[in-house]
Amino acid sequence: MAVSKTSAAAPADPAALSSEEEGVVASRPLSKRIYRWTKRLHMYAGLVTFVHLTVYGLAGLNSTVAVAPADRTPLPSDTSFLDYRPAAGASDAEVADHLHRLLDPALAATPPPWALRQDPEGHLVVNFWTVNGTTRATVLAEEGRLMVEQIRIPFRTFINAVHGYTLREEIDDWRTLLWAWYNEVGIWSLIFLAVTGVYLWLATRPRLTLAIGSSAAGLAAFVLLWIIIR
Amino acid sequence: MYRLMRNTHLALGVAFTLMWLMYGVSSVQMSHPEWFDGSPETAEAEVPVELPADAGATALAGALAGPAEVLGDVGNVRESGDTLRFQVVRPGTNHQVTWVRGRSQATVLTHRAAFMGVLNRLHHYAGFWRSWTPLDLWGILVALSSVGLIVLGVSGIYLWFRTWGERRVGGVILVVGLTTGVVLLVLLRTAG
Repeated sequence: MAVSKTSAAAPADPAALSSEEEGVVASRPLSKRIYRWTKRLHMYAGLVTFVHLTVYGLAGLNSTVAVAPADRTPLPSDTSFLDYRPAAGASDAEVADHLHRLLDPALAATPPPWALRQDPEGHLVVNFWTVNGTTRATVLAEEGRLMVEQIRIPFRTFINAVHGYTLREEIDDWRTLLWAWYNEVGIWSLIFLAVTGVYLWLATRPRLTLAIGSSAAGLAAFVLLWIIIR
Repeated sequence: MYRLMRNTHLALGVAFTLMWLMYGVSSVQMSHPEWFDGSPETAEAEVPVELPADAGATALAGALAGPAEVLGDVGNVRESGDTLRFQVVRPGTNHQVTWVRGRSQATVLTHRAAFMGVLNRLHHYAGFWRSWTPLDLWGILVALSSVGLIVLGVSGIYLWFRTWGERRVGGVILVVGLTTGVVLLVLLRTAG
């Protein structure tokens, strides 16, 4: 088994290499300077995305322990009623826009027209989705009332929701806009960390048995499942 | 300790590189769908079946697995008169099966996503509640990579902290990233 001769003590400089690594890097076409900066940027990207990595990991674990949708217990809702009559001749999209202004649900944007639906009784249902849950407004036009249900998701589901909140969403709030951009940084950093991580391995310790073994195992598992699943 | 953390960081990182890339690239696709062509291919086929008229969806899906490659998680089963309808789904591929009981053919409508569509679907598969073993195995990979991601973050912090020359700049970056993330999470969760 090939064992790295790197000292157990921490190097004094982030770019400091053991004599073995020094030799490997020097033998590569890419210069030591590229290695140093790649390592430094890898470190910085990891530090700036520590929260992202934790959120993504927790979201993955949360999905892992999730039960089948059919077995999930419906979340409790807080229901209230308001007097409400939509404007005569208003389209569903116009009613949804009006309800957004009327209810002003925190973080929520007006849902796009394709997200509007009718319940089995023919009532217009408008879901204002946010990372904290849903405010569902059902227009009971014949009764002149509006049913408003507040459904708040638990914290672990919130983590799932924020992990998937990207710039693609309908964004109408500065907090969600900032989070979407923050998430964008996390997404690109994850790719950068993966690519530079492989480079840092190959640039310094390409013959390390542990790394070769774990890389081969991960590659084999992924490729095998890809072929079977695809 | 330093060597242990460094080797752990390296081993986990390279073991799950393809998983990180799959999650990263599919996230870019989800964040910027306009950058990619996501049109699935659609095909319809009449597939011979020899089953008793009271056969269920799982049995029919099993009978279709060989001739029509109808493999995946069986769900959304619906009965309407003599007609049995259900879906067989695996990441990127959706088979909609229709069978009129007693007939010798079933109709299979297949939507097959392109490469990015498969990545997108893989991103969303986790857990162990589906009826197809390969998806459970995928769930194991997802669980391991999720734990791995958290361990990578923590071990990365340790490795940085032991790198004396980078403590100042790295510390500033860590504090900025940590503060931004935590403050935003708190702002979102307490927004109502």
